[in-house]
Amino acid sequence: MRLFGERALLIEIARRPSVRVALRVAGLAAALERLAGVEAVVPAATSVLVEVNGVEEHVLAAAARAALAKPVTSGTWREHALAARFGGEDGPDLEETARLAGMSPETLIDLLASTRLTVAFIGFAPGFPYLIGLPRCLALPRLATPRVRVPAGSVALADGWAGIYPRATPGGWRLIGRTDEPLFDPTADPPARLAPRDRVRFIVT
Amino acid sequence: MRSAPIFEVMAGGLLTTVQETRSRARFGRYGVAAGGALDPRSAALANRLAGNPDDAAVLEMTLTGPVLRVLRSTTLGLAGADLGMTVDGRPVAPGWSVAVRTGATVSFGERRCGARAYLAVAGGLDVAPVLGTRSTDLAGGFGGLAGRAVRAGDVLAAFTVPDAPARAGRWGAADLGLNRPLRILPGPHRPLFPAGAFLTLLKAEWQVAPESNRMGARLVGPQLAPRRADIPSVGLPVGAIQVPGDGQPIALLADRQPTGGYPVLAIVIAADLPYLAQRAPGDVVRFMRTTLEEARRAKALPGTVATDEEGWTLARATGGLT
Repeated sequence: MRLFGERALLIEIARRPSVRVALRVAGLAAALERLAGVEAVVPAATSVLVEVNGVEEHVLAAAARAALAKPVTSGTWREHALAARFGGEDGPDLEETARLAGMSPETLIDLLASTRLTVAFIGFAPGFPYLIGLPRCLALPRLATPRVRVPAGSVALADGWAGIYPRATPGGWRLIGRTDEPLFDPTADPPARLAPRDRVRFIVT
Repeated sequence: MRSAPIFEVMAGGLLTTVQETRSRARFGRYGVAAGGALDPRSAALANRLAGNPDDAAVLEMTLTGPVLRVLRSTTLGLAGADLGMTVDGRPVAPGWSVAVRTGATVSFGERRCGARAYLAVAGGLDVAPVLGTRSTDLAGGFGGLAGRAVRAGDVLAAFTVPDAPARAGRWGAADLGLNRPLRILPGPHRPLFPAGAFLTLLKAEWQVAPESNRMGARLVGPQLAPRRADIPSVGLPVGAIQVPGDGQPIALLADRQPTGGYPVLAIVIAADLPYLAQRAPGDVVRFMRTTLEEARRAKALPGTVATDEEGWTLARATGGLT
């Protein structure tokens, strides 16, 4: 647990992200969020940022230890099947990504569609899910030159993660497909459709 | 509460957005930026000048202000940067309130100092709150006026107040802190930087780059390149000074994305972020190290008691509006 400025603490639980780390991070964030004096929690790849106002550090540390002692399978989640189109205009980087992964575009799509991914955290942009659990062969670096505009709904890969851009933004991930499923609605509660621990499968249409 | 049109926007200015002092920090876990006025002290002061609570919605204007036609008589409060505001040609300085009549033109001319000015109107601007505040989220496209900057042709509404204070006067001004060194604390990734990097950050004179925006102040100066440029994405508090591979620091402002993957060398304390937000491109930024205790004592928002060590001069004004 490290100080991050005068109003926040960073609790880092692992060096590298994994499905197991993601579930632990999610459990930790959920537990700390309920503490009095905690203003905000931001779960990320291997850590939870806790913005505090008046909570004692030892109270936070004790709550963190208790949360981390729980089995990773505790907590609830939902299953999401997201319909998506792959390749062509919807996935302009599919061919190159498949080539770098040493497989055909069809194989890549089959592989992705047969993988159940886990939502690790929501970050980068409103409703943007960081999905973990990709086969290792699909862990490819991001593009050397980011795009100025990634279309909304783009399904993308980078650095071992899969992600979905809920809204058009600049971005450097490899675009392989596109979904029309809405992922963020600021008037809904909660505003993001996916939550940490949720499982996601892509349905090829 | 009832509301009625207050301004017709004739020209939007460089970046004019509806903002207020409350943030969306607790929605960071949904990927949402904290948002809100970048200089909340000046936003609060503008509101006090217009007779509003501190957290009423105001216009935040950047470097070049808008041109507005007043649609009904009211009182305006101006605080923050001096962007050369006039009402029908008569100058209005920050720290003043002014009564305006139907048909008057509020416009902005040459910038004199600061980067962000705040214009409050009696009653407060009426836009629907989204995720707990009326502030505009430009990246998410929600909040404020349709989630975007104000532009020519827009009509803004304000809540109607039964007894709009038809007074005009001065009520002190917040210190924009244009020459103050910004107080920082070491960041969590300091060990990922070469030994002298933190000292270089403290010793060097930095310049605000023109690419700076509401997400971050980009600074130009000596190289601070981290030994490792990519780290697993981490939650980032506003004020974090992250350093990408090019070695040039970015101090994150309220519209920053809540997670990021660049190492953080230091963090600007919350009380000094308004001073950073008031630096315009080309302005100089210096840092000084502070302690956790001092950082926690320093206030980000003015108290009701008007003078404090953060440079507030409200108490020195003679009994409020004069």
